[in-house]
Amino acid sequence: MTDHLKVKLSRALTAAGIILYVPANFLPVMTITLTGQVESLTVMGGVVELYETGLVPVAAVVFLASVVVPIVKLVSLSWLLGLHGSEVNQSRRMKVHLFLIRIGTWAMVDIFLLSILVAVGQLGILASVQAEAGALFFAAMIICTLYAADIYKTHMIWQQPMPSST
Amino acid sequence: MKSECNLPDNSSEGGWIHCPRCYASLRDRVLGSHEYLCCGRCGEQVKSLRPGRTMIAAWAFAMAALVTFIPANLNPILIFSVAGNSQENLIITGVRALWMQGFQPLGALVFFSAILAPFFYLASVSYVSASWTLQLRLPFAGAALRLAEALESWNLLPVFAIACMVSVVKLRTLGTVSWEPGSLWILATAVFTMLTIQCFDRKCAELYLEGGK
Repeated sequence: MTDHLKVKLSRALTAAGIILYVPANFLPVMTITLTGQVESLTVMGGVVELYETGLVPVAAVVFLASVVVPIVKLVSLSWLLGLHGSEVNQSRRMKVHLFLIRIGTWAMVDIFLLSILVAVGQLGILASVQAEAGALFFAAMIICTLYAADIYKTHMIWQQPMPSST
Repeated sequence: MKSECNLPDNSSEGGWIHCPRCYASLRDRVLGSHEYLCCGRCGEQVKSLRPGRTMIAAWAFAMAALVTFIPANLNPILIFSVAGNSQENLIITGVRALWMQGFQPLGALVFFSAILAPFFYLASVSYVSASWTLQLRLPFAGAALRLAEALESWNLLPVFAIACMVSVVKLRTLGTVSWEPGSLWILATAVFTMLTIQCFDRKCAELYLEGGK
């Protein structure tokens, strides 16, 4: 695969990530049923619930990993790919790209959390946790951003733009 | 025994090498024992002297992680109980539950990133670093190195360890939760995995394998 094609693919994946971001955050991720009470939670809803139970540090971790990290990734990926080929801020862009690769995987906390909650919530009518469609969109969004940051290599930041006639 | 980790002179001009990170051209020169060449554009250490022990450390940590990975998968992470009914939870239980609820892609994703990818990453790192440390030309070492590179960003056990902690906190509002030894094994595996990633010198391994052909 040529570098030119990689940039295109990375752009496409980022665009897909931005589109998937909307249902990922507005559809519920899981439904918790406890002694008859049914509660649907979105990603942000889960953070708010943790915060309200007084577990501020844990809520902060989940907030950072599953709300802040995806936004930061999508915004800075669009910035990196939008400026691809120009000579503006090249060394800063490189630092941002290395940082993105480092923080990228933390958004998976929410998916693993869901898998553990779903596993223990199998106690019939007493308590059950059911995954919802939002989780699929959330996972797809994370995979898109992970892959987009992985395909766009650091050295491409320093590349000259492709001449229009090849 | 090769203790020096220099990049090969891959340009035909002679005396010029490329930075492996940003591909800038650099003037090559002979370095003293504690000197290293820095890329003027991105700051990457292009040439440095590294003792052979770095790969021994990577081998040891990868083997330790592989060993702790087995009990991490066989012991329950936590036990959750509501009104006398209790449920044991392993990593694979979550995969199965997601699969049964009709979320096969999610189940497959968790299975891949919490079980398959860490295992194959650790196995291939220990294979490559064993081959380097023992100075053996083991077959498929090149393929193992490429596998390790591809899986490095999919090795999500440290993230899984954090998720375990959060889930215990969250479940406490629903019922009784108790920690089980499996969570400690997962924590140990996560720590060893992070140390392996720190110690494993990909450039060194690449050079060694190229030199063998």
